[in-house]
Amino acid sequence: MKREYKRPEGLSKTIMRYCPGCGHSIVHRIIGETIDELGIREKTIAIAPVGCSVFLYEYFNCDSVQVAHGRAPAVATGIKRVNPELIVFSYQGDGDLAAIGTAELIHSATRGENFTVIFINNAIYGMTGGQQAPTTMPGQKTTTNPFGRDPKLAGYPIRVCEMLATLDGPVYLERTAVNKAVNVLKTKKAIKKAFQLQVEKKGYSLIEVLAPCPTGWGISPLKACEYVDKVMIPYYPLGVYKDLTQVK
Amino acid sequence: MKIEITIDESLCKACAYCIEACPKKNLEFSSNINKSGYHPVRVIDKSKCTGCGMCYQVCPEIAITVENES
Ligand SMILES: Cc1ncc(C[n+]2csc(CCOP(=O)(O)OP(=O)(O)O)c2C)c(N)n1
Ligand code: SF4
Ligand code: SF4
Ligand code: SF4
Repeated sequence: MKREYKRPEGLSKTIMRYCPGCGHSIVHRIIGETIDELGIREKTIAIAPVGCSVFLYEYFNCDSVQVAHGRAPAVATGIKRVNPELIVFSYQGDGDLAAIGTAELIHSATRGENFTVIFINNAIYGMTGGQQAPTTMPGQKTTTNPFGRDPKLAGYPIRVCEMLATLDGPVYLERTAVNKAVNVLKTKKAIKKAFQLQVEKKGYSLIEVLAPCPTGWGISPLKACEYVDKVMIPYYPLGVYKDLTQVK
Repeated sequence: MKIEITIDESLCKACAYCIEACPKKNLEFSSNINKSGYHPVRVIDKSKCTGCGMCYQVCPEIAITVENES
């Protein structure tokens, strides 16, 4: 048997300009592999957000649209409804998805739109220089919380999977992480399952990926992975929050 | 059985994820400096590599390619 671990065709050859140790790059590769394995490259449309992953249209080897901040689910809805044969995924950070784009997120989920959301939860606004996101941890220092996030002042972090699991629209919701090899492999499994169920026209799925942002957090890549384990996962437990794939 | 591991030094950003992930502790930073200014990772002993691909799984830059024919 031959196993090959190499750059998937679902990604372009363009060198990714993310910081060292950034979780975005790992998730891009996982999506690229998924596109290859499901043989869907010619019919996949990526919706790029505003945030560090704004240039993902350069990194993916499929058609894509870069949309206004937070509006990816609205654009994904339009594309998927007009052409249901396409495979559509939105790719969004926590500022994009859980702050400015909360309305689009929730309403597309409750409508049960048949597309896939890849949600990168790195607990911060990376692109704009490390401000507080809705998902920033209590006590976490950001440029807008120099003394750490105080929930009494800034509220508590939002658990997106748990919140969406109360809705009847979604078919599959899972939270994973990319802070170590075993979690990367689980993320691959979850993302592939989400795309597969879209191919089978089963409905809405969202995979939340806890991802290191070493630059935004001001720590080394390895320390950032440890932070995901010690601080993020206890607040954002990994696992499946909803799975109706067997009954749909 | 044929195992082939290659690291594209020019892509490496020295995050150390692969060094941490390798079950054989078979990766280290080299003393070279690549065009982006990082010390890229190198394989210590190619004959000790099991071809498990864990280094590939965690590498954000897809700098590592592993072929494993068994
Ligand atoms: C309408 C609008 N408001 C605000 C901004 C500024 N802005 C750019 S990226 C960003 C947040 C990005 O954070 P996140 O979605 O968490 O992605 P990350 O960069 O961490 O991957 C903001 C507020 C903008 N570009 N457009
Ligand atoms: S700021 Fe954070 S999210 Fe943005 S590229 Fe750097 S590590 Fe990645
Ligand atoms: S393939 Fe496995 S054994 Fe070989 S260098 Fe990578 S992690 Fe180490
Ligand atoms: S994981 Fe990739 S980028 Fe990071 S040190 Fe290893 S080869 Fe370099």
